[in-house]
Amino acid sequence: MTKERQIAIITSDGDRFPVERKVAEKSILIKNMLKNLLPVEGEEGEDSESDEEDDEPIEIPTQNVRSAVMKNILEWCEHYKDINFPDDEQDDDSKKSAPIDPWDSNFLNVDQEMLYEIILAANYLNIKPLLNAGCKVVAEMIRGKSPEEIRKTFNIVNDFTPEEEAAIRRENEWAEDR
Amino acid sequence: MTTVVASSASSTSAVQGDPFLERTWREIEPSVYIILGDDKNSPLDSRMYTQTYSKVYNYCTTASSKRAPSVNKDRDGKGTVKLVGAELYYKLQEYLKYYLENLRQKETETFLQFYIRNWQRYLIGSTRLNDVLDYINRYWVAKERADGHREIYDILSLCLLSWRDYKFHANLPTLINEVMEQIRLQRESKIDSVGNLSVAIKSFVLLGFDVNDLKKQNLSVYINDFEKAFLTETYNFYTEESDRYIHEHGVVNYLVKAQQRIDEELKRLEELNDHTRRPLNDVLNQVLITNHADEIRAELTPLLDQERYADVSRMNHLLRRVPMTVEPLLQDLQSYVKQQGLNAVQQLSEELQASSVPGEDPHHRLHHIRHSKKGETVDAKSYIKALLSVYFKFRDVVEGAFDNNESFVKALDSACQSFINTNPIATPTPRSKSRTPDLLAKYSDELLRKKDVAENMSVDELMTLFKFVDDKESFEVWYRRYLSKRLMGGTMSPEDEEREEVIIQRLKTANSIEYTTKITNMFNDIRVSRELGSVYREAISDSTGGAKGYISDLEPRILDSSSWNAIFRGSNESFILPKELISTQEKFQFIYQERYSGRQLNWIWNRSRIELKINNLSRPGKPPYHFTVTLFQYALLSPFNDNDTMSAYQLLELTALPSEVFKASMIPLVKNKLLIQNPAGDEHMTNPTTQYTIVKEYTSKRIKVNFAAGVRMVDTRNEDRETNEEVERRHHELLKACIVRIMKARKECKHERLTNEVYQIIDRFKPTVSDIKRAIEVLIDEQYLARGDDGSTYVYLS
Repeated sequence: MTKERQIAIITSDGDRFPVERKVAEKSILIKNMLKNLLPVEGEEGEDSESDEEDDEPIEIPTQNVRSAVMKNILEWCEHYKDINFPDDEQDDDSKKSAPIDPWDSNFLNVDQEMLYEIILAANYLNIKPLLNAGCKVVAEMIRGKSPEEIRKTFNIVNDFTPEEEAAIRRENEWAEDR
Repeated sequence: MTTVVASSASSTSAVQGDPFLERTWREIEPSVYIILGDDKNSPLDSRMYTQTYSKVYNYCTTASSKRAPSVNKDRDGKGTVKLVGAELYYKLQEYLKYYLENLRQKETETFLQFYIRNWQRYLIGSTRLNDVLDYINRYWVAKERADGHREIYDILSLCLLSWRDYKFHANLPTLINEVMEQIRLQRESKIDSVGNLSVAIKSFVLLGFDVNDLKKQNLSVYINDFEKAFLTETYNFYTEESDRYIHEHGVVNYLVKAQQRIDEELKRLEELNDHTRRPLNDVLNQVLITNHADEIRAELTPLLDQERYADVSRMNHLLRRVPMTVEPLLQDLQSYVKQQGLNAVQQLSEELQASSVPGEDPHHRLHHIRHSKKGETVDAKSYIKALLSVYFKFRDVVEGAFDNNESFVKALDSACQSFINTNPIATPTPRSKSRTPDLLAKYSDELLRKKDVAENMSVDELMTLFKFVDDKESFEVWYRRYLSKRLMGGTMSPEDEEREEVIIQRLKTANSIEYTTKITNMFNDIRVSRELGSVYREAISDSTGGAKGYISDLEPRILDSSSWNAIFRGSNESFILPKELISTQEKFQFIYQERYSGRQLNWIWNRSRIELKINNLSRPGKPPYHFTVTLFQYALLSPFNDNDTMSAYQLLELTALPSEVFKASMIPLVKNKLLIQNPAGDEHMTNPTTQYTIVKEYTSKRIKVNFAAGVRMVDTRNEDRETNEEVERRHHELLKACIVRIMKARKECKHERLTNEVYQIIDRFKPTVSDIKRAIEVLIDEQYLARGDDGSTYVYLS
């Protein structure tokens, strides 16, 4: 293909986001889709639609992401468009324990509702680095807090009886940070 | 996290008729059909793609809200969270079976065509489906496999496995038959190319799985279901073809055909998995080469006879693919070359015998033919040339047809070594010592001596043959014999010396410094002699020289007896030095002993030459003659200064010479009419009463007359015999030295072991068992060794 095919992402609420291919391809879902839908040169594509209107932008409907969230997602993708994340399967421990990138930290400094939506969208779109960063932010919110504080942070109602709670505490005594 | 969704109590209780599952499947099934390839070949678009993905995503995630999250307790008490996806996975598995079993073969296509056509599409579809259903792979499949459920595969592998079960194994005999049919047709050149056959073959590779690592290539299907059949087919096809081809077209054409077949099959490997390379090679080598190796090899001799080296080269290249067929080929070549060498020598021997018969075209060869002890004529140059020509011819063959391969070079060398040392001329009887060292030394002598004849003789040729000579020791002895004659025979020019030096250097390099020590010493002796000569001349010039009757231009030769032993042969004859020479002898002896006290000086009269200026035999007005005579001839002529006629009795008494030496010395004088013998005739020569009278006036066309040249100094036969004896002695001494060296180190040694070690150490000649035994006997007699108690051991006596 000599000319870069236009790509537009359509959000669940109908907004249209034209994007650069390499930005969109931060999402493995979209990357694989493009690989499958755009016929490779020399291969007789059964996907006849690509033959007729090469200039038509490819529209990618993302039913599960609303445009406010997509905006954030695309900002992240734009920021990392020139970075190649190794798509290694084995997520080794060193990567898990690595601190959050400051830019990511700042980027994810949003209200809890948005943070959860970004995490969900990252999972749906299969953007591993963003998903990891989001989960780390959530983990940070838990770290060093007492159960009571955690319940407060995440708005969780305590449904344990005092006996149950004491039993769990005993069982997990070894894990206490002393 | 929301994605970590627990499923209902256990995976086996996948509720039949779960409405959400049923609805989801119903919604994605049409897309799955299109993705895998439907009847109409409908296109896949981005909407359908993301919709299908989203439906699966929604099913796997939102399902959680409808089911109670649960944690299974494993045996070890660790909690395992069950993820949603199993039901969808099994639905798909069932659907794939249904899909594949309902693919229809067109009436116009063979099964193979049908297989290839559908495989190509199915492989694309499977890859896409794998991406579209990625969410199942990402969580449910990954978790299952991480938990050790090896029967769960990623979607792509699931698709391929389904193909293997329902399309491949289900139709295996038909499929393989048709594949083999295609290959057979191609081999018979009935179709040009395999077409899409390689697509089918590649599918076999993808159908094998390592359950523990799905990413790892696994060739079990390829090897068991395809490769085995392919190799059997190949074996049968070429067994039939090669038998027929050799029968119909002969071996030479077969060499071309087989190579061509091998090349074709190796090209076919591009379409096969590389795993097949080795077994295919093995089959081809077995069928095309090993099975016919004997027939092929039988052609070597005829091809060599006809000098068809390109065909020989082809044979070599073919057989070389199977190393075990090369060894017999080497042996065949070796015996062929050996036979050629023997034939060449035999032919030469017959030619020489024919040409030595008078009247039968003697050519001009006769003048450098010498008579050997057996009476047959051998010309060293022709002999050496004959040996070389065979070597050079086959060296080129080995280079051209056998690529100078090391083992063929070795076979050639062994063959040459054999015929060069043992052949009808060198060893007329099986027990005779090889005459090749002698003849080679003779060749070197001609090369150095006769510059005119030496054309197209070369040091390189000499060294080429030297390499093959078994008995280097013998060569050295013969070489010194000829060298001593060259050194004594006349003056060597600096150029001559240079040529000598070149050969000595080459011999030194080819063998050892020690090997040429004696040869070098001989040159030194000549140098030292010149020096002594000038010392002597100085000594007599400042004293009252002429008055005491010293010879003023004495040219002494002081020769070390160990290097020059050839010179001493027959030098012990009785002789009385003419009185006018005695003062010179004594003076020189005195000078020598002064310098080298403790050395013994022996006089070898028969080697002495004297230049005479004859003042009273010329016609008046003519310049005086110059005679060259031996010392003995001088002693015989000297008395004629006082008497014109002497009887044999008188001469014999004056000189004390043995009668045969007397006769040998007199013949040239009588033949050249310096002395008149009465009565004439050889038989009267030594009769005491025979009278010799010196001529008044000598007539000769030349001013310089050489009477010495006509003297047959020592009988050549004796000389040959003596040289051979010296070789024997050298061998014996070397053996003794070697045995003593071994025994000194070992102190005790078994006979067999000792013999073996001797064979290993001695490289200058090949001792026989009896040579070694004799040396051991002598050493025991000389009390270097003693026999051990068991009779088979020797003990070293220090």
